[in-house]
Amino acid sequence: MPKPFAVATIALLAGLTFSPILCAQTAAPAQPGKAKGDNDKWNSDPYNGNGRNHPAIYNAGKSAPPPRRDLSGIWDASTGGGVQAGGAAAHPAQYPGDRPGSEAELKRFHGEAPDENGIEHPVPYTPLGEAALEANKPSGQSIRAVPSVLANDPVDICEPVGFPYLENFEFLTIRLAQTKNQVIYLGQYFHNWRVIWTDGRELPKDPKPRWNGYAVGHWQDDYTFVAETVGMNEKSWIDHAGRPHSKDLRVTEIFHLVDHDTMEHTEIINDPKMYTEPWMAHNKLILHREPPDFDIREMFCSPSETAGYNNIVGEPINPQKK
Amino acid sequence: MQKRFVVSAIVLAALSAISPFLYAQSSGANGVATNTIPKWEDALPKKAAYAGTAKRPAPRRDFSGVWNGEAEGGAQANGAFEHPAVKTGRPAADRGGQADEKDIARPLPYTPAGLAALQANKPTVGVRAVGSSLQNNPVDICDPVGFPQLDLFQFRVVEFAQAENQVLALYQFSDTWRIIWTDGRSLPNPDNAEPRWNGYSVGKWVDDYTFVVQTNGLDERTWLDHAGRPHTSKMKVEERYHLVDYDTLELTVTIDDPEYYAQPWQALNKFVLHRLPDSFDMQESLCSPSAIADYKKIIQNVISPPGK
Repeated sequence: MPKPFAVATIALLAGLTFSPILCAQTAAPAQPGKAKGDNDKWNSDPYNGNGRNHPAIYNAGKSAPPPRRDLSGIWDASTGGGVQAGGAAAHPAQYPGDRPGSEAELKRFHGEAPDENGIEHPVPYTPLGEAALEANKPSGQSIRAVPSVLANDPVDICEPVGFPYLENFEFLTIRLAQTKNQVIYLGQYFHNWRVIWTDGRELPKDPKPRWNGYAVGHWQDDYTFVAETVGMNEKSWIDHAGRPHSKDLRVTEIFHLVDHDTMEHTEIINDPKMYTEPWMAHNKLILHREPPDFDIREMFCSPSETAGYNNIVGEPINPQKK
Repeated sequence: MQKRFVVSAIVLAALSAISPFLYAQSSGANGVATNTIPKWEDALPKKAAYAGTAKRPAPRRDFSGVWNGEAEGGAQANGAFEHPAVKTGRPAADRGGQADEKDIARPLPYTPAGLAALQANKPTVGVRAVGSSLQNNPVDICDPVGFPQLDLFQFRVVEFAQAENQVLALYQFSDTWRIIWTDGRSLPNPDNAEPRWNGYSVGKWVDDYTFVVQTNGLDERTWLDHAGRPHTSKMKVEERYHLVDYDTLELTVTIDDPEYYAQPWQALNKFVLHRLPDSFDMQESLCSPSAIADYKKIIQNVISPPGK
């Protein structure tokens, strides 16, 4: 992982709680002792704080009913397991019983497994899919992980993260907003946006590949929004375990509002070239609503920073550079 | 590089004048508000397409919509629209050969520190252009474009959406977004704000048709424009969005960075953005280091074939 992302993530996860006061429209009071400016209102931290606060804090009060046909808000996925360093949340490339101190964890630490045999929730590869998987060399916390100098994860060189990778790794905070014909989706990781069209247009046939694809959505019921995305650039991975996809990939997302403060996100991967049947990358992954004044920390990938980091850290451990 | 950031365009639909805010969707399938058929990868209309079109009144305190910056010259290949790094009228003849910006048509008020910073930036355009192997534009290695370069280079399509306490801005170039807070918060203290590529932004309506944005806390690694104009992390940028009529938005961008510029200067001065249909689908414009590497390989192989 490039250093700037690592730093930002650590900062994010190390965040403390702050007051969940909803205070739109009011100017901050002047604070004695502070110079000019209002830094406390910026770079907000989600509640979870790296385990310092139990996720139950989100449910501590009685949550109001969900709004009807309205996903808009600022949503945090990190508490629900959005980081996904071992692969997509519902199918991490990890052995059964992988807990801190477990044998399965030790086995995973060893890494460099040739394939995903024996993982707890196997993915249904076709022979082509299996071959494509083996060409992808992940770092991170999957059983096939290699040392980062040997990895070929596109995001490590700041290739666009693309969809659905942007929600299968470092799925932290997103901003959703609705216009009359779109759902606007602002992602924290890589700072990219997506538009999910709700104007009834059909998905394109044989589109020119895009990193984030072409997306349409509709309300299935008053609390369930379903998005379909096609036309993704096959250079991107599906997740941090290096799961591959072809340009025929179709992704179904189900955004379900449970109550005012809770949304479940389900993501289904359908790519018959690589997988014999559709499989769930997310199965009701929980997103928590953040207050409306929550300011999302910025996370960009910068090749010049990555190069600087590699000069410091990468080269001393790579004897070939000597 | 610029080929990867290709673009395209068009038309629109009426928003309710009452509610400029985003709202719940009543239906998934019948929201089409234009008489055009929604499609994908729309082409951008040229300037001529806007000549003589009927003017409708501007909505009050609402500039949400999709806007075309391409038609009036938003690409800004030679530097910020109001101050391109070229001499009068002859950009091709003026290209390269100078150490500074002497004799350009609309000079900038550099301080000595600003001039030194300018000279460290090696652009591929304008009177200071260098060959592509010598240039050091951060955008060409896919470093973040950053603000205000988002307004001052490849400014082709931008979408604005208004929520109760924010304006959301979606830029075509580099597929990046900004949030402009309208909840009355003040900007962070520039002396200790963690720099951001897109900075920290607050905005307010100064009258019913004019929205003013202030931005600070900007990462000083970015260039202001394609001609390599530098800035410090103490820069403050003002954007003034003025709705002339329903289909026309004027943007004025003022750079205030006393360490590098003796006075504030206008990078855009009532630069015209034309409204596009709200069904407009922007072409994707993301920077890919592997695509750049492939491109360089091809070019280099043409210039010096392998083995020769």
